Amino acid sequence: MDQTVPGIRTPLDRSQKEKQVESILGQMAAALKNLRTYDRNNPVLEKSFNSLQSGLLRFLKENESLTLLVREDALVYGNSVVYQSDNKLDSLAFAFYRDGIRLISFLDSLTPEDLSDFVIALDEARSADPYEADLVTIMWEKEISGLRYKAVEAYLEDEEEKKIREMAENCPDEPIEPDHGDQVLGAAFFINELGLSPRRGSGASSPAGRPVTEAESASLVQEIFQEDDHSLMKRCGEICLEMIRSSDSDEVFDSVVGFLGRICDWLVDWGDLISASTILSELRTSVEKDDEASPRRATVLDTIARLGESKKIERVTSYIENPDKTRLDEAFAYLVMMEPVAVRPLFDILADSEIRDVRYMLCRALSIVARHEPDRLRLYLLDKRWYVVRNAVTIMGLIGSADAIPSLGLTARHPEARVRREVARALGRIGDPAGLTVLADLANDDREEVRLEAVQAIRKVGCAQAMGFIEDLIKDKSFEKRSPEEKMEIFKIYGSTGKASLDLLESIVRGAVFKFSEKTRAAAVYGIAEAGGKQASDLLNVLKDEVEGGVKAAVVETISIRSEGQDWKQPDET
Amino acid sequence: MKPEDKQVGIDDKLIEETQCARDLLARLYVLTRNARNYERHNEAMLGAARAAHDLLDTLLGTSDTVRFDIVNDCVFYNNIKMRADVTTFGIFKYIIREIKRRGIRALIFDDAAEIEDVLGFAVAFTRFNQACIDPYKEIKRLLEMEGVAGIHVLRLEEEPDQPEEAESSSKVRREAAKRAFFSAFHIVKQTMKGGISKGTVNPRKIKRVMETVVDSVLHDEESMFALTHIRDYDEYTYQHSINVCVLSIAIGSRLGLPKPVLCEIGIGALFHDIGKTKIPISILNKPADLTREEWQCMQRHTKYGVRVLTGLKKLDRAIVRAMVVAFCHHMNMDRSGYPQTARNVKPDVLSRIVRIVDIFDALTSVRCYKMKAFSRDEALEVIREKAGIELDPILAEMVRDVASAIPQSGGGQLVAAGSGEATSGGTVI
Repeated sequence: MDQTVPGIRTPLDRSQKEKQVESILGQMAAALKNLRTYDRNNPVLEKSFNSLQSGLLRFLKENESLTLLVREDALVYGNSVVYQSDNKLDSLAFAFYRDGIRLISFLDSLTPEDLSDFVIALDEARSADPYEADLVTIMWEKEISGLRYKAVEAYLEDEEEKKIREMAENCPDEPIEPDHGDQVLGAAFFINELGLSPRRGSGASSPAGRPVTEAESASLVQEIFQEDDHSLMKRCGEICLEMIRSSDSDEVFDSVVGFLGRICDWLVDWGDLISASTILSELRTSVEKDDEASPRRATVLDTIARLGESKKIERVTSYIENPDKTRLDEAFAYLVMMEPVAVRPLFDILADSEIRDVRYMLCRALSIVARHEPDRLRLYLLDKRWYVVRNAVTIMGLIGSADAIPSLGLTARHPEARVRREVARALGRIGDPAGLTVLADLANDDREEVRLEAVQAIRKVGCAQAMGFIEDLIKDKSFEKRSPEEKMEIFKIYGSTGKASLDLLESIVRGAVFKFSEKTRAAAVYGIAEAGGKQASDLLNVLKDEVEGGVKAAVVETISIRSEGQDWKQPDET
Repeated sequence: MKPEDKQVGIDDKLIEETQCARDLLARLYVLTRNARNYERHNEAMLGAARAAHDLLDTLLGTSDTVRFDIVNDCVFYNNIKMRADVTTFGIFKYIIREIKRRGIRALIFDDAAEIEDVLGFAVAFTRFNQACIDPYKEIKRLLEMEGVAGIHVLRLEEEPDQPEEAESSSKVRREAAKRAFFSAFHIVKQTMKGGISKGTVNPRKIKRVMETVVDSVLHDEESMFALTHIRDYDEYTYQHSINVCVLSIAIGSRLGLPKPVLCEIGIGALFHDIGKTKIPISILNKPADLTREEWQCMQRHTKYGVRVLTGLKKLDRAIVRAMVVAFCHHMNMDRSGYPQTARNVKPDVLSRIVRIVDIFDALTSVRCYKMKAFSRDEALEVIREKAGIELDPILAEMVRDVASAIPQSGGGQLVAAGSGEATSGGTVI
């Protein structure tokens, strides 16, 4: 410890009182450290606050006050250094010194609440943005009554300080008689400039004045306090949008758009994704008629793009940790406003997400954000992580562009069955016949779930060519080797295409054309039932009397299910 | 009559009586203020004295004497503790301080007090010389000299502050007020000269300055109000901004708002006209009616204000408030004023406070084109006419209270600080 300062005594010289102060400051530093480490209700923190309170309040009771001189690295009591720390990060002395406090006094009127507020202020000052507030401001706002401090105006440059002093010194103590002026303009001009109307009002305020009642003043105070940070920010957002709407200057437009981006940022921090998405939506609308190269459009898109950077997008994760439908809808409304720069961070969140609903919401959002970024999406198809590839495939399917079919065709050979299955689903969503060849391959995949998905997808493509693919699949001799469940599913899918499927299904059920097993023929009955409509019903009724064994049992069962209307599709005659 | 009815009757009467006593104090306050500027038989003096005497008559109708005691910085009327409300606490504060300064513990009025006595009391009260050895003896001497009958004073039991100490502490307060005032002056000037983009102005600095202004308004309103008299043609906008800031904080303090909110009001008020930096000086200072185009340009200062403040790097609550005030401070309650919005943006309370104070200060100012300033009463009359339609009626009453605490010297006031234009004479603050 540096004790070379003249007049400052060494630890050996310390009086009992100085040792007491040293101990109090140690307790204060410990309380501050614990405040940063533990939750507010943690017993360790409570204990350290209690020790500090009892120590300091006892001292103040005995000595009326405790005044400390603040040095950059130390606190001095009387002539002794009673606290010293070279570690500026945790130093009490530096916390005071940095914000201009040079002398601090605790008075005997200090209450335990004051002391808690003071330690909390120290903590808040440490994390406060030095650009916004400092310890002096925080203590001033807390109005700590048993505390006095002397601060230099560290926020002013020397030159400024000098100017202010000069102005104050040159200001006379006494005002002088006014110069009333010699050129008098009409009052109407002035009233107009102030934005008041020239008409005379009712004069709701009494000429002689009247006291404002408690209720009246309370109503104003209430109105002020009703406007919390959130509503204030929304109000400011409204104003900025209003300015954009009527802005005739690019300079104003740019500043205000930039500021709206900051408001959105703040709203997302607050968890109000809906207000943020409303602002972004209006920003987009404001330039939707502008041509591609317009500077205003560039400003808006650039502002939105900044909100799509990794750190900003990551905040949405906490919002959807425990999602309900509303939260997912709100997150979706916000995320779809993003620019393509958000694709990568969104993919990262998607990769980490374990909740199916969240993943689907993110895929839907990405299908909008990345709809004009096919190259970027294709890169994800090459990712080593199968689930990332699957996500990219899902997004391509949701985008629904046939341009993705070649890439999906390549991905259909992915070793992971879940990816291949997703490719089949994506091709079904795209619904373009160009995908049928890939789907036909997938319909013969090694894995049943892939095959079924592929057949389902072929059915979604829906054209005659697609139907031909399913028919060929059924007629193929390998069909019989599939499991009864798979065959039944395929028949159902085929049957769901409508009455056009009935001829083939009937011939299978009757065993007239193909040499299918009884189980396969029985499965085809479910395909007829799936076709629905009167024609299918009549056919089932006819078949009931004409087939035997397991096939007949299947017919009876489907008739019974259809009559009860259980879990069966409504007939679709069209 | 049922007992409870009787009780209600007594309470009502007492409320009326204490309200009347409160009004009397307010009248005496106005009278002693006027006595600084007007001769004894000036109409303004006579009017205020008559009003005070009428109230005195009413009170003497219910009791033999009217007595005001100062005990522990509280005012007691005939042994009833009087509670200052939002519009009278400035008056109470002034009366307590000035009565104690004169070594007086109690003021007693009896039925011998006539209008002339009330006038004499105000004159004696104003002529009091703080540098005297025994303030109580001095005020007694002055009352005697003015021939005041029916108004008596009792000596403060404890020794009043030593004159030198009182003078010294008052001087310290005044110096602190000046410092706060000019710090705000400096910061608004710096901001208007591009301090935000240059990085010399930031929210922390603005807040620290505003804290000193708020403290000065709370602790020494009188000195701060006196500083609002300083006028300089060349620096009108800066000074107007600070005046609006000081007077808006004064309204906020009467509403009992906590210091952080007063700080927000102050910052909003200080920067309400910040957008004028973007308006050509030829329009701002045009000594004639503006053309339609010029007028439209002038109106844009509300939007430019928001734009200037967006330059601050951090989103701070006080700055966001200031943006709202910059945008809304020319909007009226009935949706007239400007800017007109499609989104139905309504002015918030802070904007309404700034609006009304802005009007008051602008009307009572002498402008660069030498327009004659309105007197305080003329300005208040304009505000009164618009109250309830364009302006907030409650705030219109409050600005009247604040205005009554501003030292008055006829029409507009002008001191060109440090410009060498100041001459001697005028009103003592």
